[in-house]
Amino acid sequence: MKNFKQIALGLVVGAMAIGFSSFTTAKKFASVTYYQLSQDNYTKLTSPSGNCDPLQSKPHACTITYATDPGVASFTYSARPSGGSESATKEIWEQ
Amino acid sequence: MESRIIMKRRFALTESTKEWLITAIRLVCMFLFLYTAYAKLVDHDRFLKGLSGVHLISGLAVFISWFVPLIEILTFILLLIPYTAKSGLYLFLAMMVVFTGYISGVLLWAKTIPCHCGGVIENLSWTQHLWFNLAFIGLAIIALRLHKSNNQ
Repeated sequence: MKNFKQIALGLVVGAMAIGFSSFTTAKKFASVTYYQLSQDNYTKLTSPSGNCDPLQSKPHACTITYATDPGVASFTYSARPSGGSESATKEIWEQ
Repeated sequence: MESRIIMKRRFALTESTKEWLITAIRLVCMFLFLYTAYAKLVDHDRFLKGLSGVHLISGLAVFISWFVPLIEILTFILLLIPYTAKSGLYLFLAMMVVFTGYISGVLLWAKTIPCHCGGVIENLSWTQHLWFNLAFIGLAIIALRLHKSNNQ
């Protein structure tokens, strides 16, 4: 009985883990990401190719992600739509 | 001498407390591994792309991208079944040590540091990630020690 309870509790925790995980992953899928293609140009791409050099791009971020689509194809860093989540400079987005 | 013995007994955990702590640690470890395994499998392309970006392991990226989440699910199953929980804790500890070694290696030698850990854990900085892993290593060690003392 004790073992049965522990397994049941474990399964509840497993279901919660999958639930939370799909929630965060779904949020990521719904978001729109703009990639830095040159020093001061961010473009909306679904399949980027190229490389963001975090050293050269300082202080700019390699990617800027929006929870909802701002509706523009590209923008410069200074004229970026508000509410974006900037990646840390540590990140690369493609090799 | 007598007072020393009394002090020792005061700080000793009861069997039920030890069992409760072991179960709690097991559940936390199970949550972590299933959470990250699911994120890696659902967003597999991104995980693979991230691994391919690390020069140290790029040759094994495809293998690792499937092997890691599958081992995480296996660890979850081992931790879930009370009879195999101890083996699960050992496997969890081994995996966390490997992950911590990988993070340290990437921090020391890689030119660029991509993050592909799965879920909200990706939002941690690499130093935070290192502490996060060390905390879980500590938890697994505590659970194994409690397991040992419980069986004695």
